[in-house]
Amino acid sequence: MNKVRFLSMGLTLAAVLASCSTTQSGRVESLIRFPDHLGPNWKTSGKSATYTPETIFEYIDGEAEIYFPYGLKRASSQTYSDGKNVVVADVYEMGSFLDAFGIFSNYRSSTARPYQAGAEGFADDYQIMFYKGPCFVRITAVGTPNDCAEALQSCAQQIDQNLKFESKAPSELDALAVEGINPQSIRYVARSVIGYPFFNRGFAAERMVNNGSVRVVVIPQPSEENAEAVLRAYADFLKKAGASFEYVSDKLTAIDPMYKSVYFERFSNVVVGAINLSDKELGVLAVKPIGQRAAQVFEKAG
Amino acid sequence: MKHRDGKFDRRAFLKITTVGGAAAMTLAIPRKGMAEDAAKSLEFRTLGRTEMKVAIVGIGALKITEPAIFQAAFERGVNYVDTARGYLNGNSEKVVGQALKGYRDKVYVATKFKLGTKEHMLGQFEESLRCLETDYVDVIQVHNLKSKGEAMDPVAKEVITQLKKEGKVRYAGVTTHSNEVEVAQALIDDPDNFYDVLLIKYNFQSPPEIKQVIQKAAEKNIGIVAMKTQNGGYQGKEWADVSPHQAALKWVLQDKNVALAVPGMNDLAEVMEDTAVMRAPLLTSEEKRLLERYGAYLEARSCRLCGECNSTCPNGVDIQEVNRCLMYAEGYRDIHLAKQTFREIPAAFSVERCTSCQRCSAKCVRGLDIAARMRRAQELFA
Ligand code: SF4
Ligand code: SF4
Repeated sequence: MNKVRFLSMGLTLAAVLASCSTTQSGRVESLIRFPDHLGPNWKTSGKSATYTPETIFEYIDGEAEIYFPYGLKRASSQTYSDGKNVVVADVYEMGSFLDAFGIFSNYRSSTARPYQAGAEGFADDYQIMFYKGPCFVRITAVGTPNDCAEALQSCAQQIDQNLKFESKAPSELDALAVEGINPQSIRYVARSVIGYPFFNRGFAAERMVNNGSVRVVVIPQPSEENAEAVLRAYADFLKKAGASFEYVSDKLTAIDPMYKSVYFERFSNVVVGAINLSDKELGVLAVKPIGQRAAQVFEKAG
Repeated sequence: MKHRDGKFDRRAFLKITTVGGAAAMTLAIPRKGMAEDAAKSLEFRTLGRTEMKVAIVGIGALKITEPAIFQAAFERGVNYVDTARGYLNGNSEKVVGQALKGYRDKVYVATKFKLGTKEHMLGQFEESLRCLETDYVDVIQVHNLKSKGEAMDPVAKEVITQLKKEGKVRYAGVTTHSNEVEVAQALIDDPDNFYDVLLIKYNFQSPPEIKQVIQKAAEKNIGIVAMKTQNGGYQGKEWADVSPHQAALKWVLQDKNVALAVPGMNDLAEVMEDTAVMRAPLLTSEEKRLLERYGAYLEARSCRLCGECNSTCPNGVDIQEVNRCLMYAEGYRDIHLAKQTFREIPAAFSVERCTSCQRCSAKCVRGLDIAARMRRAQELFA
């Protein structure tokens, strides 16, 4: 995959949307058609509601801020009821397939069970979540779990069918298709990876190395120069913090004030790092295979 | 609880400047061996009728996903963290739980549940305890109330009373983002004085009714926690060298009826920017003027996206949509979303077609200089 594709997230989607559903004013129609029924007795309560980035606060309040870095375009919501219990279906249309994965990855639950809907669907007694194409789908029940179970599932299945995208992970995740990576741990962070503003956007995950779990980060950049600048900014931060570090030939080893022993390396236009290490060698082992693969995935344009 | 009252050793923080992308940003990071007087310089206030002595800047947990970043804030003196069961499907509480390791006796924890049946509220609360890895929370808040009826919900009161008896909750609170005056007034009028804490949206652009109801609530010894202290403020080029962000936070803290503010923070840079206010909370006259100018700046640029001007452009520019892109860039500071939305405007309605003829400016219902805004968009998105 071309790195420009990654870095201009949403262009493909924008083209698809522009070709099929753009109104005269340039705004985009909702991608979702909600089901009319969720089984016997379960009917829609009122019309579906649509929220834009300006009005989304009215619906999910402060939580809306989490959605903006992932390019929220609109959210649609439909409520269903059997007279006693309620099911609410929310579909968030994000900036790109990767953005939909990114926002979904914030909501993953380690205690929920896998559920067959969209990509990486999961469920518990009160909710089902998945992502598909540029959409993040969140279906929630309010009421008695037994009474809501079938309606929840019916809703998820119908929405899954109505969204005409493939149920697969964004291709950018190939960069992390390396032995030992726990796929459930992968997050796409659209702003300040590990809380550092110079790591503007990228991935965080856990990788098993020598029977121990290591936290790794992957920061793709538009060019080798940008990747160098990112690593330099990190070195500058460490220097001014008075941290001990060594930065030679695109390799950086340090005792970070937040993340203890760390190892970072630049591979072409991608910076890959390992944090909270018990020893540096573990970092090198954790980082190398990811760096080599990520450099191919986010290869140079042209 | 030494730490909570500010009588503890803290680490020093070194002001540094680092470069991230094009913009230079100031970060201050922890360093061991901070002087005692620096800790003494922090301001603490009592949260209403509770016994909690809170540092005036707390931390809104929603956007931080790294325990280490919370801990950097704790090391700076923050002793109040506000999260919610609903944030990120409980993952926010899990991160706070990890961050609290070694800090639980030094930091007050507030979380929230939603109104529902008794079983549902109790279930939510038990999940909160599990995720926060604690056996009690300092403040449980009923989340996002919109009316007097919701504020006086008897089931919520029954649940909280039970949790207090079980020693799982110390104080009760509510949060409100809309119809705030009615909700706050319900707490003030409550003969039981049931709720101790009110988490309310409050900033330098809040209408006077909010300030008044906060004063009345404080007089009834309800602890006031301010959120959304920035009002999602715009940041234009001309503000790059100053921080209306800090001034806006100070404006809220000038009001002694407010015990603390819990601004949302994204990363270490914002943690450092906000926590710096704890050491110098006084709004200087220069900052007052800055805020006034900033308020005027917001007004002058805030397009309401009403669309009235769209038909006025002889060249077909989709003015409303271009203004939306500017709002994403300057308001939400999300250039990615702004550029993406901008690219979706078909060429026939593009800002490139603008000839600065000024016809639209004459028609704007808010009197905005639309032509200037179109030029700004050309500059920004070219
Ligand atoms: S100033 Fe630009 S946007 Fe306004 S009417 Fe003239 S051409 Fe259209
Ligand atoms: S008339 Fe003024 S406020 Fe309304 S959309 Fe146009 S620029 Fe914005």
